[in-house]
Amino acid sequence: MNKGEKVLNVYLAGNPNCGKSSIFNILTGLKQKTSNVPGTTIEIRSSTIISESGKAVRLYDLPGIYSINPVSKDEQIACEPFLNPDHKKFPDHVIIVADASNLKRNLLLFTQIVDLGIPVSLVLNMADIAEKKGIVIDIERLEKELGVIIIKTSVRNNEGIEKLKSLVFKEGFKSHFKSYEPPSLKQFISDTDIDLSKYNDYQALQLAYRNTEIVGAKAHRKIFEEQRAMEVMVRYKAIDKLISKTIRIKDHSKLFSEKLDKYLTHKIGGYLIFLIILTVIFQSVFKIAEYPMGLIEDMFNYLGNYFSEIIPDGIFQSLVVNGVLAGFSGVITFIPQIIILFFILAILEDSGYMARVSFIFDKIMRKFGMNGKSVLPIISGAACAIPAIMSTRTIENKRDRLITILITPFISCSARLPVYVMMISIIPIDYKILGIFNHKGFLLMAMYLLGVVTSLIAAVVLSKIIKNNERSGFIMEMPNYQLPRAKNIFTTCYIKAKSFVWEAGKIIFLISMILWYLTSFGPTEKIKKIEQNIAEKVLNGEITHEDASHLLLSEKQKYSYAGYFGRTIEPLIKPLGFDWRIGISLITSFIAREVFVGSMATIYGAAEDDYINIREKLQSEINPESQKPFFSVAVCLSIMIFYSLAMQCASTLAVVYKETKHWKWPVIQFVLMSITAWLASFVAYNIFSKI
Amino acid sequence: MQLNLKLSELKKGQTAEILSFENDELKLRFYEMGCLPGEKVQIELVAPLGDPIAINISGYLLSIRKSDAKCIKIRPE
Repeated sequence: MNKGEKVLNVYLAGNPNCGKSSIFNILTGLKQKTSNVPGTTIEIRSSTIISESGKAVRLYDLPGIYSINPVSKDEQIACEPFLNPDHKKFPDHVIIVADASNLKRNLLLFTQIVDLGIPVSLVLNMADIAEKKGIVIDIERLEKELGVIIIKTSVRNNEGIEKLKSLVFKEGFKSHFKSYEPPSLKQFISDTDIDLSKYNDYQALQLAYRNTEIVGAKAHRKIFEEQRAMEVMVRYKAIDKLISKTIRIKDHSKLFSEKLDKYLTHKIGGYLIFLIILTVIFQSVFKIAEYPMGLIEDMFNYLGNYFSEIIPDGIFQSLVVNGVLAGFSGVITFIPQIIILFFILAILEDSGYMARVSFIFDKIMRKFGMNGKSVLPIISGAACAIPAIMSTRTIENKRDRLITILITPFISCSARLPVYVMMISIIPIDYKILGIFNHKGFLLMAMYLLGVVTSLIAAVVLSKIIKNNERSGFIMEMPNYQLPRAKNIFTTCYIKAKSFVWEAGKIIFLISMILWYLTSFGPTEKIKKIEQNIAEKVLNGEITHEDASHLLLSEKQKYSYAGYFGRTIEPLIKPLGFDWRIGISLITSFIAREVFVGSMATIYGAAEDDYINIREKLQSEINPESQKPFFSVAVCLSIMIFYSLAMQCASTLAVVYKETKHWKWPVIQFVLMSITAWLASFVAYNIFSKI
Repeated sequence: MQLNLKLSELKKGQTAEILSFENDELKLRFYEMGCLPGEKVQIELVAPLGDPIAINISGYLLSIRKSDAKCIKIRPE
């Protein structure tokens, strides 16, 4: 690249489901950056690509849109570079990707971008599907009518890819195709401060739509809506004429895709097939994720031991092992689950099946203030809320998406399982329901159900509170079924994992460092005294060396800042049957729920990985007030319910921030979930301690 | 032949011509998706619980809720 030469801004634009993302992936590979449009939750992917001759362009992938009339405020902001020729990201060339099997609707966006005075070219993608549908496009004629370069591609058959790659470095043409004559606004606004002379009539009109002040009062909104509808109608008339000149439809047999819908949206079969797919998803997320997660765990154990050996005991060792390494592992352990879940979700999305799931569940989800697209994120929450929340991006309606994000963490994720298992193993009841069902299985199921029911109640309540500010309606295209493209799916997984590490990872790391500090440090005097006490006991032969090390850890945790904090919040959690020790574990497990088990082990002076040892220690614990076992049925249930409903996960909060781009939402979510959990545990504790 | 039905009243498999929209806000959205007066629509699929419905419009499938389909006036064929 020559220095000083301007890097051209090239955009890919097109309708949703036109295959634009896979084209972007082909053009850029993994060398792409995802960034948020400032002030919005819209992500735009971009990449700088360099031709063989050294020419560089910046390629942007605009989110799929049907027209440049924004549906939401966010979309409006995302479209801004298109409207202002002085904008530093104003496109030098827009490549419009159109679904060749559905050209009419795809050309609407084309005509609008042309009228903004932007040089364009046109890619007719999915040529293979169009062919199967019997659609014959006279490309030469279309090129002549539009006056731009047209390329026919089919990503699946590798058709037109080379031409596409060179198109990015070519110049676009200003199309001479006229479909709409915008009214001139310049006469209206000659007396305002805004200088419209640099805009063409269509740009001026779009600016006026966005900024009603230009032409005066809000009364104009209605006129504008009319004007816009008129514009679309007029454009389609011109497109119809164009299509009748350039497209011919041959007879064709019904596509496999069209037949498939009969089964996949069938009254009973549709849900049955979904259930089967779901089972496969969960089996694979749990089973496949086990291996990499085990490896990661082993790796961190190994590194922990390694650094413990090479670094002398002390604060620095603790910082490296319990602070930095723990922080990294808190980020990295989530990656297998993110990748596997997105692998499956990407297949469902890419194949077109996702739209059918939304279709058959929409009516049910609507009752809970969401829409059909919320189903998969919520269900994914049973594996892990983090990828689940990241997958809500497919929900266009902002309110529905927000509700889905807020309620998904109520669903019991895999990290709650160790907590449930431990509490169920020490709960002092033993009876069989109907003679066959063990109380253990029943309790576990009850915990999962509790999460589902609470999430749905929360959704109903939230939908009454959060207003829907967007254009109403749930209008969703149901794309043709296609075989998913491997490359596309791998790219999606890679990008999702990367964005999690860079955006949420930082926050998770920071929180884990803070927790490390709180649990490792306490008032120095006190800690010294404890160390002396224990050393004396060992010297006097009162306790063995091994017991002493457990005791030391336990005492240190008690008198750390986290310990003090645990005791400070004791009055708050006492009504739930918790004492300060559980309080400490609540705080330490904020980094990940399963830490609760290890933390309880440390406090009670048991070996961390010895379940039987922990169980014995916990079961023999006596409540000093009642002289009965501390972990009664009521206390165990109370702990389980609290873990089921409370937002005990720093990583989820970090992801909620990443996805909503606002600290308000994770804070609200944390407060609301904590209150819900507190109330539910309070009720359960009081009922069961009376029985 | 019945006149001026609503799209929500059409049965599966039936075809009709779009006449007009009663909801201004939705109108633009539908227009952009190619649902314009004069276009032919066919009810292609009905979701298992009776709602939403999928219509075939200018060669592609569009899922819409019954409540939204209520504001589309049609003439069945």
